[in-house]
Amino acid sequence: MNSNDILDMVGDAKGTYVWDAQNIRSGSAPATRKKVSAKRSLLIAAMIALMLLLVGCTIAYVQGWFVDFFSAKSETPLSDSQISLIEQNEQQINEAQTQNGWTVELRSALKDNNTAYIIIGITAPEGVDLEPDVVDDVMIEQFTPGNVWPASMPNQSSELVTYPAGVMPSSMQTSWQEDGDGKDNTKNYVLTIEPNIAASTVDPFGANAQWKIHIENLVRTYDDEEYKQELLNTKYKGDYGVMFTHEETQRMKQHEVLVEGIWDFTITFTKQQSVREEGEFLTAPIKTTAEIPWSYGEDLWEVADVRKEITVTSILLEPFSVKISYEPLDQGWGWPNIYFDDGDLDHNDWICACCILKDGSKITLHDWGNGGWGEEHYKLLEPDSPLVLEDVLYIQMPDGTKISKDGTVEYAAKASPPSAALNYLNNTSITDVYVYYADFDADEVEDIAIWYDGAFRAVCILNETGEAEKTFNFEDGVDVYQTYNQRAAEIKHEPNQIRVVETENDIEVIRYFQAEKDGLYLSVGVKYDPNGTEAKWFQSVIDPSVPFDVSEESWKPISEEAYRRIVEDYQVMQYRLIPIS
Amino acid sequence: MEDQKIIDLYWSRSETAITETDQKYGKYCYSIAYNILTNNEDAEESVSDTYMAAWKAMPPKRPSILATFLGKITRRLSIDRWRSRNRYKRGGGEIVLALEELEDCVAADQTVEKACERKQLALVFNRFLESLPETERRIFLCRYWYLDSISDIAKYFGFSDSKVTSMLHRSRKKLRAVLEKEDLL
Repeated sequence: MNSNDILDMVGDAKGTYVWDAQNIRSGSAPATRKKVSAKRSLLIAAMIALMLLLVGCTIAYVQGWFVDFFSAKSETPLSDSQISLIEQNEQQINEAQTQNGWTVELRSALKDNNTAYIIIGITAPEGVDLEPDVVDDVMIEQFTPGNVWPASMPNQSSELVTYPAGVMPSSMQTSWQEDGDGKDNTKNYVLTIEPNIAASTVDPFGANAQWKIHIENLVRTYDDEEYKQELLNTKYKGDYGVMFTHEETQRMKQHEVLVEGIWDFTITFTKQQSVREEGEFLTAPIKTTAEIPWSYGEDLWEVADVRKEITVTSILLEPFSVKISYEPLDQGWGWPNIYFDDGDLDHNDWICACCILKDGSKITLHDWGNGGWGEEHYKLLEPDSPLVLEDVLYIQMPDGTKISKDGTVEYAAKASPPSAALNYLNNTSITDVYVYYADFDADEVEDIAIWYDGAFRAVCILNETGEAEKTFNFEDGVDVYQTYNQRAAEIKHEPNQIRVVETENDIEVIRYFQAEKDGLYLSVGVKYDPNGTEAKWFQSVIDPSVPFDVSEESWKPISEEAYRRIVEDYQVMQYRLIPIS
Repeated sequence: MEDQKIIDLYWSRSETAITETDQKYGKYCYSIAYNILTNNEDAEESVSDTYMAAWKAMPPKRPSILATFLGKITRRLSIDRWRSRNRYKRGGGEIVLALEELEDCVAADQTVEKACERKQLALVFNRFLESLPETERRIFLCRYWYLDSISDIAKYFGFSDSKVTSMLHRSRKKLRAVLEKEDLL
C-alpha cells in the first residue's frame, strides 16, 4: 500500500462525515472556536463588578475581557481563583492612537514568563459597523515577527538586550471578541505571543521588557453579502445547499482597506512576575516517554515516529503555560521535535498531560509544538484555562506518571491489559493472531481468549492491574477450561461485547450488539468444535427488559454470509473470526 | 429540487436529471475537481465525466446523500486525471503535498504484500474516522478528502497553521496504527 492507495481509501469516507466537513468549509456550520456573546460578556462583567463591590476590593476591574477570552477556551467555567488570578495580573495599558478617525488602543496585557496576551481595541468612526455577525474579520495584517517583536529584554544580568524586528521567532495568534459595550463600531482583538527563545539568556516578558507592535493599515475581509444575495436570488434561486463556483467565491471575498495609517506601540511589561521557581514540580529528574514524530537530519525533516524515554529535568507551572525541560537525546537524533502527548489508539482520545486540581477537575495541557530552539531543550504546554498553583494537586504526564507539588512522583502501573496479552503473545511462536477481549473497554478487560493458528489456543486471566495472572493453553486438556468458565459466567452481557465460553461440546464466541431500532439487542454467535475446525453461525434477538436468555432455543441458525453482513452493518470493533479451512 | 426528485429523474432516465444535477451540485463538484487539478478546463471535464458516471450508476444506485455521492465520483475522476497528467513529472497543487504527508501512513517497504478488499479498507477507514474527535475528523477530511490547503483549513477553524499541522500529523499516526493493527500494511 502506498500513499496513493491511502488517498483512494480516504475517498471512501462516509458521506455524512464528508458533508459535515463541507459544512465547515462553506461556513454553514460553526467551527469549534467559541465566540463569546455580548450578553455573556456583559453578564460576566456585571458579576465581577458586584463581587468586587461585595468584598470591598478597590481594583477597578469591570471589563472582563480576559475572563471572556479564557472562558471561551475553557471547557468548564472559570473558578473564583482563576478569575482572581486574571484580575491581579492584568496590566492596564490604555494607550490609544488615532489615525484618520480610527483609534487603535492597547488596552491591557496579561502574561507569565512564557506567554503574553494583549487586548487590542479598535474603534471605528461612528456609523462604521464592526459587528462580528456581519464582518468576518478586521485584519490587522497578519501578526508576524515583522510587526510584533521584542525591542528589548533583560538578560540574566538584568541588562536589556535589544533586537531588531523579525529576528525573534514567536508563535502568534489573534482572535477577536466582543468588547461588551454594545456599540457596533468597536471590537477587541486578543493577541497571543509565545516567543521561541533561548530562555536561559533572556526573559521575554521580564522586568522592563519592551515589545513593539507595528500596525500598518486596517484591512477588512468580508463576504460581499450584496453579491451573495444577488446570486441566491437569481442564479441559485430555490437551490438547496448552494455551492458557489471558485470564481464566485473569490469574487465574494472582499478586502477593503478601511483606513490607511500607521500605529506604533511600545509595551513595557510592568506587572511583577511570579518567581519562576515557585511553580517547579520536580525535586529530581524523572523518566517519562515522549513522542518524536520527526527529527532533523541531513535531509531536513525526517519521519521518526517513535516514542522514547527521556529525562525531564524541570516541570515549571505558570498561569498560562507549563514549561517542561528535558535532557537532550542521544547523538543520532539530530534535532528531534518532541511532543508530550500520546497517540495510543487503544484510547479513543489523544492523551495529553494535564493538571488535576484539588477539587478533582482536570485542566488539559496541550503540546502544540511550541518550545525552545537550538540548544534549548524545553516544550511549552498550553493549558485549557489559567493555572492557579495553589489549586493544583498534581500534574499527570501522558504515560500516567503523576508529579505532586511536593515533588512526590508516582509512576504508572506497568502492563496495561492489551500489553499483557501482547507480551504473552510475543513469547509464543504465533503466526496468525486474533485477540478477543471480554469487554471492549480496555480498562475493564477481565480476560482474553486468544485464537491463533486457526483455533482457540489459550486464555489469559488478568489480575487487577492488567497483568496476565495465569495463562491456560487449551492444548493442555479440557480441564483447564473450568476456571475460565467460572470467570466467563461473571461477565455481563453488555452491548458490543464478545463473550467466549466453552460449553460441554463446543466453544462459543458470541457478539452482542445494540440493534438500531426498538432497543433490542441483536446478537450473533459462532460455535466451533473444540478443535476449531467446524463452525456454525447463529442469531438471536433479545429484549433487554426481560431476563437475558442464553438457552439454545433463543438462537436461530443463519448463514456465514448473514453473520458477516450483520457484523459489518453494526460496525462493531472487529477481530476476525475465521475458522481454519 | 430535492435530492430524491433528482434521483427519480435518473431512475426514469429523464435527461433533465443532468440539468438539475448541474444546477444544484455543479459548483460543489467543480470546487472539488479544481482543488485537485488547479485547472479550469480539466476541472470542468471532470465534472462532465461525473454526470456521465452518475447517469450510469443510477439506477441501480439510490444514494442517501446525493452531494457526497457525486463528490466522491468527482474526486475519484479528478485524482485519476491528475495521476495520468503527472505520471512522468511532479505536478503542483495541494494533492502533491497531501500525498507526501500520507506517506506517514504507509510502511517503509512500499511493495504491496496483500491484496486488500476495497470494502474492508473502507470499513476500517470509517471506523478510524468514527474514533476521531469531531474537530480532528473534520480537519482530516478537509485536508485529505477536499485537499484544502493548511492555511485555508486554519482559517475555517480559527486555528494557527502549526496547530492544524500538528493535528493532521497525529491523525495520520493514528491511521497508520489502525492499518498496522488490521494487518493492512
